[in-house]
Formats: sequence, structure tokens, C-alpha cells
Amino acid sequence: MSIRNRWFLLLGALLSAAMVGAVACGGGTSSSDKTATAAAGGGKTPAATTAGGAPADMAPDAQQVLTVNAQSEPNTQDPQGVSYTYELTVNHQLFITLFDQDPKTSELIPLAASEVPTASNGGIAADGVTYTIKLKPGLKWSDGTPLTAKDFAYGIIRGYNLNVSGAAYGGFFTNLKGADAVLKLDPKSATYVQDVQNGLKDSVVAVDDATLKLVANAKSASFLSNLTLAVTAAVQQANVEALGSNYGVASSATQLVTSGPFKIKEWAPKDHATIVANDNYTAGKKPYLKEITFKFIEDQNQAYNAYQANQLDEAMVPAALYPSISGDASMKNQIYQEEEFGTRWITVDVTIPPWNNKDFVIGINQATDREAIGRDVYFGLRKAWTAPCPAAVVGCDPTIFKNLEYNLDAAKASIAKAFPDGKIPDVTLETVNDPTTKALATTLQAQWDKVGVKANIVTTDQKTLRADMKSHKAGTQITGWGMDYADPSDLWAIFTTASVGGNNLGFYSRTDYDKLEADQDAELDPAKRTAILKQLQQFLAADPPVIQFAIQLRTDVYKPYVKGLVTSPFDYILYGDQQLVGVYIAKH
Amino acid sequence: MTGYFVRRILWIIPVLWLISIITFGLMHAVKGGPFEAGEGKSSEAGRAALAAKYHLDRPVWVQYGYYMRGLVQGDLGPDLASQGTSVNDILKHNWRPTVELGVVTTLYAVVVGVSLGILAATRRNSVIDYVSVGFATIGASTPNFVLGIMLVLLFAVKFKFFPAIGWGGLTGWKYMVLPVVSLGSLPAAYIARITRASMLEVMNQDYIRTARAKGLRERIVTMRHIVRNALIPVLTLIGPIAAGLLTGSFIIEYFFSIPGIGRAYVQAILGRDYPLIMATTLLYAFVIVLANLTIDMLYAVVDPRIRYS
Repeated sequence: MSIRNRWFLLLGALLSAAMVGAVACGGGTSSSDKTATAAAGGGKTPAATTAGGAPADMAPDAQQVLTVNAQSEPNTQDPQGVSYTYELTVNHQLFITLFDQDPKTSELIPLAASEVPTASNGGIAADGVTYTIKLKPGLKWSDGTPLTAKDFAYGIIRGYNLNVSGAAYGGFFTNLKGADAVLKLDPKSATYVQDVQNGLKDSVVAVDDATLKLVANAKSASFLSNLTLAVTAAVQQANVEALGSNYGVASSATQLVTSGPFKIKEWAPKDHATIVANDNYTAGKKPYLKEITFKFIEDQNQAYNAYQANQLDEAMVPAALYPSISGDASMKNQIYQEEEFGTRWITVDVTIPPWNNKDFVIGINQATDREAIGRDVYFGLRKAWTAPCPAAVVGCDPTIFKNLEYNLDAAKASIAKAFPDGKIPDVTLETVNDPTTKALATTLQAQWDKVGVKANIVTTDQKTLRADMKSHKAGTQITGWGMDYADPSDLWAIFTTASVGGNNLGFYSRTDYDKLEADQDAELDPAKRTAILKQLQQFLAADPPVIQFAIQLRTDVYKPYVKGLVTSPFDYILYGDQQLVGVYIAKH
Repeated sequence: MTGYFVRRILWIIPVLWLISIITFGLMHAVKGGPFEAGEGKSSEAGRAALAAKYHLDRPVWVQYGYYMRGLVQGDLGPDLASQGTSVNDILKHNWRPTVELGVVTTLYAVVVGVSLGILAATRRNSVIDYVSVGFATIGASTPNFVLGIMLVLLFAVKFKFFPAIGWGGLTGWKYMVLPVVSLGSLPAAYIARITRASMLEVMNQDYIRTARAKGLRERIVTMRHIVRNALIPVLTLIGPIAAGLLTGSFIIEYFFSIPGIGRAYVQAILGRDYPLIMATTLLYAFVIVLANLTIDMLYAVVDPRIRYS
């Protein structure tokens, strides 16, 4: 045999060995790998329950392990420091608040509290500003110690410490008596923490272990809704003080004493966090799942690849893949889809030309073909929507915004009214540099061109865009609002003068609007409040602060053996993450 | 020569200092900061408090002073994205996957590249030569993330041979295959081309003809006389390639969700996490400076004609 032939034989043998090895290794890539079943209906089929209340088709405890994608690594799990959805998805499993929201009706429901305070049950005093909240009996921390009203008082007050909550919801819950003054204190002061406590000592009071008294600065329809926010969760003071600045961060995550249905088992920076069932959880039903691993994969396509490679039990569906996935019979049943409780819009800087001309803003709203955007840019994962409020928000009346619907003739008329001389200034569409957003920008560019408006697209990164908005250089920002709770104040406050420079990056500031917004929150009579909300929306329809275009249809896939999912418009990153206690792994 | 290398080592300090000034200036010249309006639910007062806490409300040169004061004490500063976590913690937790990926990829590139180069040269104009040259051409012309996407779709999604994401350490070899092949194919192709060219040059030398004329077996001529001499230029390439793989893996780390420093670097830049950007840049600069120094030392070792003074 010649040398050349021997080389071919060797090469062939090596290739064969590699193929055999690779085939032998297929199908079991990690300890969390699972093989999807092809059962029709998948996780959406309700299951019968056993005598013990567990679903009859539930797999053994050892298999109650779920691996999902949190999409990004949380910066913290300190409830007073969390802000982003990828943080809240995990935090919601770790810490409880006084109240929660019903996943279907959006109504307030008690979580740590025994009931929602009302005037009739004595929870709201005759003055309309003093709330007495009773806790459920037997609440415990994950270390087994009692969870009391003092822990809630400590947590709520800590939420006003801007050194802790400055990047998050600090300053969000302004309805509490004394909050405005406390938020003006100097965080660099040596006595700052004590000053915050002193400023709120009369408005946040632990009457006894099971009773918390809160005092609002005025009558407020949204007051109790704030108590669903993580920033108002109880935290264990001893734990906070023991961990100091490491409280909530990865390096000391396993030492975090939690109050929710889960506690942290492991947090591997830049890779994953794993939470396990908290045996001391007593505020509600104990979870079926024994362990949940949250992977930190930013790119949706990568996550979806990992889902297909059986490394994840859940993944968000990338928009571009949605048509093929929804058309695939084997994948169709794995899709979970729900309208988010929020809206998508383009913020326009109403202080700079041409956006400072309300007729121009109306004209651009009318020139925006929302159906085409939903179809061509988002492949059906956005629903065309003209009102800045989701229909489920109390008092939202989408018909008020009919004047802003797509209508080229009306658009041309509005723009002609704005610029009678026909000299329409160019606009800048500054967008982040991702394919979907760029596709949206080019679609808008083409649509607005039909009414004679030339849009120049500038691509940049998120930080630069925000800086440019703040310095009035960008003019537009594709954004929106995901509601924190169902009360309309959470949405309509964005367009107030008080929010300028924060979430109101369009610098929309109208005294009459501010008054309407304040009035609707102060009005406790539902009928009267609805009437004010109608006026408020009419104001925005006549002088729009944004170009509203869609409601997101959030779409995930779950493996068919993941069952018990209850989706809610309030879900953060995962469908059903508000109610993961009911989720289980079925036999497969 | 010892004095020369001592001076070179001492030069690392001003080089890194200069890099720190340039990096600090550049990152502050870019718009946006770690705490921007409209991010999360932050309030103006909250952002102001955090800016003050981390001295971001002070002039840039004052901030640089604070940074350097910490740096000389070994404190790389706080991670601004995850308050409470230090940059030292992040590097401590995340160096291993980056180094493992870099080292294994270097080995892959050297073994595959040298083997293909030798095969191609010794079997010139054969199928093996064409396959090797073809591999080298494809490897050199395909960006690593494009190769990564193709490999993931084929071997993770379709056949499920390997994981699509993650890192399992040196024992989790299945996690290594796709990122290592994606990252290492370009340098492997480069090494293969250099090895082949160097081999062909050596093969035409008189002393090789002499060796054959002496009646030495072809294998001995190849391994002892051709390969040994042909690998000298390849050896000097390994330093910069290794440094490049250690510091240039961020796209692959990001794509395969490998929890290494490269991925943290990408996230730090996007988030304007100043201390983390500084630390990673200085670390990468240090690795490259060190690699260059090592190469210069290697030159002197492999080629006795080179003398530094």
C-alpha cells in the first residue's frame, strides 16, 4: 500500500470515528436536557388532579425542573433595586408584596395581606387617606423566622433610599404622605437613611406584627396598586444589614433570605441563576416546581436555537421566525401568546420643530399605516393600535383616538394645516441598530414619504439615543410603556410635567393635562373618574404626545411537557411568570 | 540581553497608563452614561443620587483620579450595572471560560493548521493538498460568527450533537466543540497556509537534497529536517494568535452565551459600565503587551542570530 493510500485510510478512519462519536453523543447535551413530546395541545390541556391536589399527570419531584431564558442577567435581586423585566421575572418568585393582580381580571388580590382594604371592611378610614392592612397569619421568611408588618414597613421605607433604589422604582410611589419631601433629601448626607425614616415614620407604621398602617398624602385611586410593586416588598432587616452593599447581588445571592415561593440556590454571573422551592413559603400555594434555572441569553435567536437543541424549556419567538413556527404543526401547540399590558409608540420631542406643531403630530399619526407595520415588520406579532392605552385599562376608550387612525387624505390635510406654505421640515428617525427596529424605521420612512415628509434615519445605540433625546437632538424614539399595574394612573402619569426628563422623554408638558391627570387619580368614584379619564384622552387625541402604533403580542414557546401555565398581561419576560407556582412538568 | 527584557517589562507600566488615559477619555466622549433617563423606572432624583455615589457628577479628570487611585490599590472599581458587585468579582468569576476557550482554540488552531500545512506540502497537488488549501481559503474568508451560526444550525439544532449555548469547562468538551471550531478555523487556516509555504521553501533547500542523497528515509527527512526548520516562522506566529484568541473571543462568547470576560466586555460597552470597560481593556492590553514580549524572547531562543541589547 502506498503512503498516499495510507493517508486516505487514516483520514477516513478519523472521520468515521468522529461521526460515530458525535452520533453517540447526540440527544443528551446537558443535565437539563429534555425530549419534547408531540402530544397535541401540549401544556395547554388542563389536567385532572390527584386526591392530594397535585395534577394527575405530574412527573415525579426529581423531574420538576424548569429551564427558561431570563433574556438578560439581573443586575440585582434586591426588591428595592429591581427595575427591568428580566429582574422582575426572577424577583417575583423570591419576594412577595402585600397585593398582587389577578392574572385575568387585573383586579387587586391579597398576597401577603389577608384582604384588600376597602371602606366597607374598615381597611380605609373615613378620612380616605389612612389604610390599615392586615397580614395573613403565619407568614415566614425562607430561614423560618416570622415575617411581620415591621418587615413590610422596613421594606417600603427602604424603597425611598435613592442610594438603593435610584436606578429602579425609587421615587415611583409618590402618593405616600411625606414622600415628596423625602425624595428631595440629599442622598450624600451622612444622616440620609435616618432622615428618610424620620420623614416617613408617621405614614408607614407597623401597628403590631400583623397590622400595617399607611397614610397617603391625598385621596388616591391608585394608592393600593403601588403596593404590588417589588419596591414595596418586605425585606428582612437583619439580612440587609448583614450583607450590606452585597445585598441582592450575585456574589451573596445564596444568602438572600426570601419571602416568596422560591429562594436562590445558585447565581453564576453571566450564565444563569437557579432558584429552588422555599419550604417555608406560607403566603399561598406551594409551587410544584422544585427548581427553576434562568439562563441569561440576550439574543432571541440564540435562545430559540437552544430551545430547539433541548437546552431550554422555554424561549421567546423571534418575530422573523413566527410565520414558520406558527405554520409548523409540531410547533404550533407549543406557542403561548397574549397581548401585553402596554403599548408601543414613537415618542416625539414636542419642544423641537416640527414636532412642536400638534397638527403635524396628528398628521404623522394619520400617515402611519399600523396594519402594514404589524404585518411587514413584526410578522403578525404586533396588533395595530391607535390609542395610547390598552383596552383593558380602566376608562380606556380607543374610539376617542379615531381621529389618529391611518388616513392618507386626512394626513395630508393635517400636515398642510401645520405647514400651509408647503415647506415641511425633514425629521430624524434615530433608532437603535437592530434589524427589526431598522425595518420599522425604513417602513415609517416610506409611509411618511407618501405625505411629503422626509425622514432621515440615523442608527445608533440605546444609550446614545437616550442621551440625544434628553438633549433635544434626536426628536424621536421608538419606545412604549409596559404597565406596572392595571390602574390608569400608571399610564397617564407618563405624559405629565412631573415625568419630563424621566419616562417622558418627549418633554410633553401641558398644565391642563397635568390637572386632568391629578384629578382622575384623586377621584374615588368610578363613574366620575371615568368621565375625567374621557376628558384626559380627548385632550391627548387633540394634542398627541406620541405616534401610537401597536400592542405587542408577546409570544413564547414552551415544551409540551410544561403544564399549568397561566398567562397574564402582567407577565414580565416569561409567559406565566406571574403565576409560576402552578406550573409543573408532566410525565413525558 | 537580560537588561533589555527588564527594560521591556518596565515599559509595560507607561504603556498601560497611556492606554488607560486614552480609554477613559474615549469612553467618556461617547454619548450616554450608565444611568440614563428613560431606562427602567428610574427617576431624575434617583439617577442624580447614583451619579453622585459613583462620582459621575464630577469632571472627567477627577473621575480618572478616583479610578487610578483605586487601580493602584488593586481595586478595579464597582460594577455600575450591578451595584454591590465589584469589577474584581466579575473578572474573578469570568476569566476561566475566556482563558479555557483561548487556550483550547489555540491548540486546535495549531494542531489542525500545522497538520494540514504539512499534509498539503508533502502531498503537493494531491487531493489532500487541495482539501487543505480549500479549508484554509474557506477558514480565512468566513467570519467566525457566520461559521458559528452555520455550525449551530447544523450540529445543535438539526442533529443535536452539541449544545447551542453555554460552557462546561475543560471537562464539558461537548460545549467546546462549536465555539472552538468557530473561533479557531481562521487562525488554523492561516497557520496551515504559512506552514505549507514554509515547508515548500525548506523542501527545496540544498541540505534537504543532501539528506535524501545520504539515503535517509523520507519520514526522517520530513520530520527531522523539513518540519523542524519549517516550523520556526510558525512558532513565532503562535504568540500573537494566542493573544488574539484570548482577547478577541468576545463575539463568539456573546454568540454562544459563554460566561467569559469577552461577553462581559460587550455588555459593559453597551451599558456604559465605565469601570468594567476600563478593567477589560487594560487586561486585554496587558495580555497583548505580554504576548509581544514573549514573542521577542522566543525569537532570540529559536534563532541564535538574534541578539537584543
